[in-house]
Amino acid sequence: MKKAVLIFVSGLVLALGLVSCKNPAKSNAGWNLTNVIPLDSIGAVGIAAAENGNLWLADADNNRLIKINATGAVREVHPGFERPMHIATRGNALLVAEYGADRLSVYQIPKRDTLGLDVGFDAPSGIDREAGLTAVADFYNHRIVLLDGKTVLSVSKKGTGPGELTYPTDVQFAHGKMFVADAYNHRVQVFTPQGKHLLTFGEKEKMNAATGIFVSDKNVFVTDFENSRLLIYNLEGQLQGILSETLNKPTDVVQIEDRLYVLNYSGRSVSVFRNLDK
Amino acid sequence: MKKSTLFCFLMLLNGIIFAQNDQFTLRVEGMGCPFCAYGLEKKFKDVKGIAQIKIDIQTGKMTFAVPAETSLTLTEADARVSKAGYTAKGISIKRSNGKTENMGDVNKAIVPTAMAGEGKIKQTFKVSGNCGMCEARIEKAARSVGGVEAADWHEDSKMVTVTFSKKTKLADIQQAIAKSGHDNAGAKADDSVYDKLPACCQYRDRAH
Repeated sequence: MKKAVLIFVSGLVLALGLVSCKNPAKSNAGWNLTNVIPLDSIGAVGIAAAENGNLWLADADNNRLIKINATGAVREVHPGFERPMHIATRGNALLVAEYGADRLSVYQIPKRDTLGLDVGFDAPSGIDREAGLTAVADFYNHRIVLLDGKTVLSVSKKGTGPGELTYPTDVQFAHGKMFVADAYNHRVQVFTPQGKHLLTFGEKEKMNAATGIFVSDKNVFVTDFENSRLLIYNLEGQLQGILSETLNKPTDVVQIEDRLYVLNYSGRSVSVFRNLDK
Repeated sequence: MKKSTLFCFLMLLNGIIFAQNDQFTLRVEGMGCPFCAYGLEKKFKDVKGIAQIKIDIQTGKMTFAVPAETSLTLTEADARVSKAGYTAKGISIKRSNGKTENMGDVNKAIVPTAMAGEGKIKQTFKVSGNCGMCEARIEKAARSVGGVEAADWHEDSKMVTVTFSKKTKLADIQQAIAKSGHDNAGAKADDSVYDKLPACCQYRDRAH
């Protein structure tokens, strides 16, 4: 009898353990809120790392780029960008997707080069560059465009199947792959840098517009706009945690060392999380 | 003296510039996402001489000015909004000659639902949709049918309540809603219409 009870209790403990192991989504994956940086009149959609702990913001509402410090104090203002959306810093250059002008800007202050006017973009919303290859999320054309300086390669088409896109908003090269925020398919898709589809994930989490993506050394962070959440996956696409504290319609995210900066478009703020394990 | 003369000249010049422009105010519901809102803005950029475009995503208000000679009408502005896949709840034009033209209400926050009275029918049925833009489109489609007095769709329940005269057929209302791109209890939208809905309104593709 004692043995039977022991087996039953052991089984129960094991079962509970399995259930908890299968439910990591409630975890914050080690990220704890430290502070919120108010942005007030800045209506930013994109965020990227700047030097010395500063941040670049693409102030789409006011057609400009802004550099702020960790407390939100404005350090620099760069006007003349038409609805800049997602941005990326690569080397000394700031890459800007100008949604309202159907063009890209490579900004090495004060020099500014314009790209893509002959590509036929319709609202470029995200951009990244690696090894001379520039990837662009072409929102209304439902595709990723790859530019190598000589040729233009169009990746994907509108659809809901594997490898197909519906209003992509952001793109990033990382780990030899290309990660795409497939916004209105509510998921993430991974391609080779040449455009071959490799992986799709995030559909189980019932996102409502995957508006921004950032890939770190271990994780893929995705902003879930309408649900005001940040979803954290490992590189294989398995959910590791969800952040929602202080988030308000987020559109972009960037990790700098042990801190995660989540840009709240409607909240007009940046929520800062810290992970002491990093 | 010179300063005051210059000031007067600038004020006069400013007055002349503004006097030659028609001022537009549009209210487009459901523009909660910057990608959608600035997408709508893009669809107006080829209007000749358009300037001073401002868009408030929180309220759904879009304002701009066009030269009077462009002669952009209420109907044309409404058609541009529709072509972009959105629904204007209200448009107001203040013409350069001081006249105003209105369609709908640019300030109205909520469309009230009338109670069914004598000789009226009140029906509730399911209509697929996702967001505030869907709400505006569904309600507008229902109200476009003769005899419909009120239509109120709820995002959470996906149910619309329509109040209409006894002479009006429910099937006609459901057909009108389907023609706007929304499947409902009585009719299914054509794929060609559905495909033109804005991204945030495409309910069929959703995983949930």
